[in-house]
Amino acid sequence: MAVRVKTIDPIWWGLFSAGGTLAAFLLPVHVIVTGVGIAFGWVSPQVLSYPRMIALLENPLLQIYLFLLISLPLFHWAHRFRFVLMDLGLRNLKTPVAVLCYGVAMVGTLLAALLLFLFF
Amino acid sequence: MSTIKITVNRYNPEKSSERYTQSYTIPYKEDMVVLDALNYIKNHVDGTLTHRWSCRMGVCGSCGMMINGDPKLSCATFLRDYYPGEVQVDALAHFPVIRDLVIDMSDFMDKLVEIKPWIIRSEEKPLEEGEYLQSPDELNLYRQFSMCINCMICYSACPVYGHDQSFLGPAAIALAHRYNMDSRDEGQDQRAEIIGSHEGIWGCTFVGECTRVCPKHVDPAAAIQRSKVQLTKEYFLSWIWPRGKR
Amino acid sequence: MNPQNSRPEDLLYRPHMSFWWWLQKRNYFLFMVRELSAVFVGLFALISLVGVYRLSQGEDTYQLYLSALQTPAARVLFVVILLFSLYHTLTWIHLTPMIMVMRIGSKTVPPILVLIASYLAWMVISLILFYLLMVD
Repeated sequence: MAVRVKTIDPIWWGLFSAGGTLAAFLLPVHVIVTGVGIAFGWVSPQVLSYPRMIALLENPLLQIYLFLLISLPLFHWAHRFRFVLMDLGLRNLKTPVAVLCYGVAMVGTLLAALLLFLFF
Repeated sequence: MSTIKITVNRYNPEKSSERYTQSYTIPYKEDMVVLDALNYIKNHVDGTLTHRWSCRMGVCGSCGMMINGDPKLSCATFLRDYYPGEVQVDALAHFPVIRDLVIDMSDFMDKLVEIKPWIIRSEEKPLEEGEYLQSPDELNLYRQFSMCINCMICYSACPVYGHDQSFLGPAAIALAHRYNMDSRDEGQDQRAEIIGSHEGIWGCTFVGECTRVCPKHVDPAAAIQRSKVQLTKEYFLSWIWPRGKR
Repeated sequence: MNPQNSRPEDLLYRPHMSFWWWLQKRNYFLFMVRELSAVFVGLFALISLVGVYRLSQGEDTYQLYLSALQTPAARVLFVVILLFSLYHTLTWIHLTPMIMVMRIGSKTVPPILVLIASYLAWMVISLILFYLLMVD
């Protein structure tokens, strides 16, 4: 069906949904290995070592993976947090809140893209 | 004789612009529902108590109200679940109150009509061609969403609607979904403009309370989320295939 | 007020929603917790972004970043992030059967099967990812 939806809400919801799914399935292991594991010393620092990371990030597929791992959860946060702020009474600041939240996600995405695709 | 205390949050604009509570201690029987208690009060104790009711069997949707903070049908809520404790009754949340337990439902009525709750055809089938045929499987696609009795209890449970009455709300969107899923209907595009607006599905944050409180198990939350998936798919597809019907 | 001279809509009592609405019911509170789990999801993404940035600044700077990840404060933070991340995953998986209606032919797959399949997918994906991250 051809649908003329006048709002761009589907874009934000689509990004929120993709970010939420990615975070749901992939993040716990990442947090365990590169977060809690490293912090408590259960995981050898070799896993995140400089030479290993530099070597891994030369692979364009891994660049894309890491880009998505950073960007999509940021959009997931942005969309949910925007609505949390509105539910906490900032309904009259609808536009600034949306600009702030999606803006942070977009800046983060841009930085990730610059670093991962241009630098490495 | 057993008794139970019913405390009602009342409102009478002819007396005061503020609400006030009034408690009644009435005879209690195990088979009584909250509606029985209210009718007893109105008939024998205080004739000024004002409340809506009709079928007294959970199909008309008239008697929705807050009972101990939870939105319920008063004809389907047994006193024995609260006895010997006090039962607190309040008007359905998130709606303007006209008097006592009677709320202004004009916003809800407008929204129901707005989503075009009827079969839309691009071309009507002439009478001579006979009726539209629908298999049991096709019926099951939308049957659940057709069970709504318009009691507005879901609106009472929805914090989004509570904050912002411009939100279309669970029942209206569930009803739109009911027609969108009906194999006889061809009006998805027309309804998409309404439910796909900013005040439609996109305001929903999937709290899920609407589904939990629905006395008819309509599951409006599922209807809304499925609509989000559907409209998002179509939105992105329309970039690749912008014109015409698929 | 003078009801005789007022319009009907002026006589309505309009309820106001409290700022603390989300504390008034257990389900509202759990909803807020679920939504706030997105903060920690986003935070982890930011921490990863900073890591990539430090990586680009050379080995010494990156070493400082790795050391920061091993401080007591970092331990607390990552435990909190992990807890919220798991809560996000569990709530997300449990909401999936409501949204994704799987049909085989004209019959609908029972939601419980969709739920089990989602859990299995999460387990399998996690194991594969764990292996890929740890083993070189």
